Amino acid sequence: MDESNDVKKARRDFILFILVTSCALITFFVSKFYVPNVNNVTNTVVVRIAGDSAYEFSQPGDWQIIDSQNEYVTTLHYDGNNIWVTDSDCPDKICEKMGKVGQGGSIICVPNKMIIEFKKKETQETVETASTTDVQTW
Amino acid sequence: MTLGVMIAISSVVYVLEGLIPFPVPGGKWGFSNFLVLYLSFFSGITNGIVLAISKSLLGSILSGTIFTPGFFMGFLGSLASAIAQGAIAKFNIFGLTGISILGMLVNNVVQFLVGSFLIGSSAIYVFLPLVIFLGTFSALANAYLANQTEKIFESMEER
Repeated sequence: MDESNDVKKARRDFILFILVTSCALITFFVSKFYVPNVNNVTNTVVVRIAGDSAYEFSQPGDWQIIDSQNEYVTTLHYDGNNIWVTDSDCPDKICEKMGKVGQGGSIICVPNKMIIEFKKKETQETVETASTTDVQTW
Repeated sequence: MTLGVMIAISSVVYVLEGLIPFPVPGGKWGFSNFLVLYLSFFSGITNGIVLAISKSLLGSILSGTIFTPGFFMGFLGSLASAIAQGAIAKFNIFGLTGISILGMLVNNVVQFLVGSFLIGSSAIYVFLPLVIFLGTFSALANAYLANQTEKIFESMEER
């Protein structure tokens, strides 16, 4: 009775293992080979800290990021196509290891609650809403 | 082995596993969770929770990461995993390996939820499938280690 229960449990464990690994692998490869639609992305880089937009720039060069407490966070280099972190204040330097990121990609720095990504274009719907609001305000 | 010794072992493993390379930036293998799994499965949910809280606090103090965003991700992930493992064990549906895999799933999903809340973006989820895939192998290792721990206790009791 006990042995049969153990066999059943072992079978369920095996099915769970196969299910979890295959779902994770399929999702990983789908996201890996998914090409982001760069037509919806501008060449403006946005740096958000804790969800708030802290910096926006589209000019190539080195950019020093300072947080709201006036403390140095990181230095970015933007070559007009790709962006990467050249220096960071955190000990792990994980964001530096993430390398170059192009349009559609993002650099995530959890210790500094920071995300660096390319700004998305406003959709037609958003533009229309904005223009309607503008007219009403005017 | 007392709970104190288990806390000490888990905390040291927590610090040491940070030195083992992991393919996802900032990720860890999670081997320090094997004693949390052991306690949640064999000893009950309360001891599992106590160990999960203690090893996260002590381990992050030792590694100098206490109260950083990474600490909150790990702490809440480990806590949720201990609760889930203890609760699932009561249903008697899965063995140690299955419970370890489900605990790993809960741990990672909670960590990513906390991470996305802290950075205010869902971009972090792009790493979740790879972390879960690698985590299943850590879960197998943790189940093996928890099983070996139980065998050691059994042989100690026989003496």
